[in-house]
Amino acid sequence: MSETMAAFLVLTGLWMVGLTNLRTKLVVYGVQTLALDAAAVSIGWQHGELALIVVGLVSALLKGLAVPTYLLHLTRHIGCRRDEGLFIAPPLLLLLTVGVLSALLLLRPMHDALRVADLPALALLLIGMILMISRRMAVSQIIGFLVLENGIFYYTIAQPRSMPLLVELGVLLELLAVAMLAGLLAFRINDRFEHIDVTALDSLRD
Amino acid sequence: MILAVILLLVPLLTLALAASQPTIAQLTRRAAVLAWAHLALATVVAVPRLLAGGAPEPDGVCRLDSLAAWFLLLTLIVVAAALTHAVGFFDRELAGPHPPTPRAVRQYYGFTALFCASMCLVCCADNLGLLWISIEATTVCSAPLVYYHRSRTSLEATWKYLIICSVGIAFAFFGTALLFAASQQVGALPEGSLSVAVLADHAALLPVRLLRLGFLFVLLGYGTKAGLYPLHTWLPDAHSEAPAPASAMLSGALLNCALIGLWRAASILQAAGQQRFVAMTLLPLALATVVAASLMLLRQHDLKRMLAYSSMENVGIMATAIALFDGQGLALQALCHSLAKVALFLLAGNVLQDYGTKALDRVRGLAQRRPREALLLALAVAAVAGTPLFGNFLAEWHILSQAADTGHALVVVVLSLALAVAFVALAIHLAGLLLGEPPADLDPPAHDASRWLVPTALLAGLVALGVALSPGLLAIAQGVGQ
Repeated sequence: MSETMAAFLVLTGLWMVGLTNLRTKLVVYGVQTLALDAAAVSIGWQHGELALIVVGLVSALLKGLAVPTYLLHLTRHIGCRRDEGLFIAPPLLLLLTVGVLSALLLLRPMHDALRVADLPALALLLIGMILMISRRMAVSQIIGFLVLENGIFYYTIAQPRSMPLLVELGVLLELLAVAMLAGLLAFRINDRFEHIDVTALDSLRD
Repeated sequence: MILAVILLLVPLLTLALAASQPTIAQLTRRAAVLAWAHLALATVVAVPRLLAGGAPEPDGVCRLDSLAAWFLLLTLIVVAAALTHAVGFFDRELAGPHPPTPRAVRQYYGFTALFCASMCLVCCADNLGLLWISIEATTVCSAPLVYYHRSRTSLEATWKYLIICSVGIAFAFFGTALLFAASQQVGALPEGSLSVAVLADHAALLPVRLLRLGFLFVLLGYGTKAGLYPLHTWLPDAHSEAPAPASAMLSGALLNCALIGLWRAASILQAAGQQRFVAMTLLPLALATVVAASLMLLRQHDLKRMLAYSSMENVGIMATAIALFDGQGLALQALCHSLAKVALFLLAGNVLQDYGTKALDRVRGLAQRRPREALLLALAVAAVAGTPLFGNFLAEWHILSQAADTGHALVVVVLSLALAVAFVALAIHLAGLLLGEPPADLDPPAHDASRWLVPTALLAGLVALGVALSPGLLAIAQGVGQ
């Protein structure tokens, strides 16, 4: 994994934190995922690991193209264009996230277990979490989850050996199932509540 | 291989059945028969393993060791009980005020089949990757079960369940990747390994820091799925919104599956001599879960949410057993809790169908209206609260004495206090339910044996476990931890 690629992935992640337009965010997510998959394929090529090439291609097809297209269709159908965020405005959140990531780089938590090369994975993981807890719309939460998964995929391909092919494919299949199911539920939420603001789903409590 | 065929064949048949457009009455009855056939098949495979103890040679994918055999049987008993009760349940649903569409019921059975298959895989998986995939599959397959009622609240519960559990389990995959990375640093395993058995064999060589970090993330992930405090927020919603047979499976089988994931990861750490680390991280979470759940039990207004919090409390007790590496306690507690909780959720489903509500302040006079079910409900609550005479008491006693033997005095004190609080809470709510005058506007009760047959059988089993817990069964449970 080259430094340029790692920087590109983290920067696209940061860009998503600052975005309010859902469509743009989905496109940026798609670009990020395709770049990550390209990195996987190139690493597979260099190491002569056929499994990684296959995983990269399948992931590009499913996570990079199919899922964003489906979610774009969903936003168009529902007519939901913007997500202004919860509590904190996205620009300010972007600054805070940059601060958190710098702290991550300077303090190097868990430095005896994680190498420097693994830090971008941790950064993407954090960005995914921040995306999930800072937004209102169902679609934003799905994107956050997918970015978080990108972070984990980054970690697995940054290791000397990638995960077994069947495990990686199984994981991809599950991710696709979760994204599709969550999308279907978002449609239903829109039908029932006439919005997809999941922070308004608060009738179940003790 | 044969194992996988056995495990997956019957659910696939059920799936085909659900897809072949039968009438609902045919579907429910045939699915129940298939569930029992599944249990019989699994008995043939699992019982010899339980009696012989030990484990077969690992093939890196599936491995039917004693723990797997025990939980496989338990899962299938729960599924068979739930689907048997579901026959009468769906008959009454169709006759009720809001009958479901045939399509909804067929979908329900289709996803139940997939759910059951994925839970069987969780029990038998030796590969951490397969374990992760099958635990995530249980979430994906059971979310549509929670959505069965198609109401606003069930939609909310399904959304929370899917998102919170998926994110939680994503962390478990990161933990799995960390453990895999750790295995690559062992000279003897140039390719790395995900097999629990292989990792445990080479545990002494694994880098400790990476191993600990991996365990933390796995704990975070499977802990979310098991409903450990403070990651439990999805649990009461999903368990209370699902229809009764699905709630029974979620509580009686699915929570065990998450705990199996925790046990497998903990067993690698144990082999590496990191028992103290597991106890330091898992024990506080487990105790917090028990305490939080028993306090939440005090202020419940909803029958099924109350049962869900009681499940959470039991998960805390089982997690304590895992943290103490008490396999026997875990096995017995899981068995007794599952039987009692399935009976309770099925009875709660009857109450909901009968009164049209599960609000605790509106269900009154059950003892007068349906004496038989009221008695069963009282016995089941007594069982789940750990009263003597039922197996639950022996299981909880076992875990408490294990904690005392290993010098965890604080654990004993906290668990005992929390159990007492939970007992009082359950007793108060139960008294309100049973006593008083039933609402006057209800139809006169019709007699229907399918309402109480399965709960009665489950409770009889629990009493049998409590009064005559044979040395043979204890010895088998003893083998589960090894």
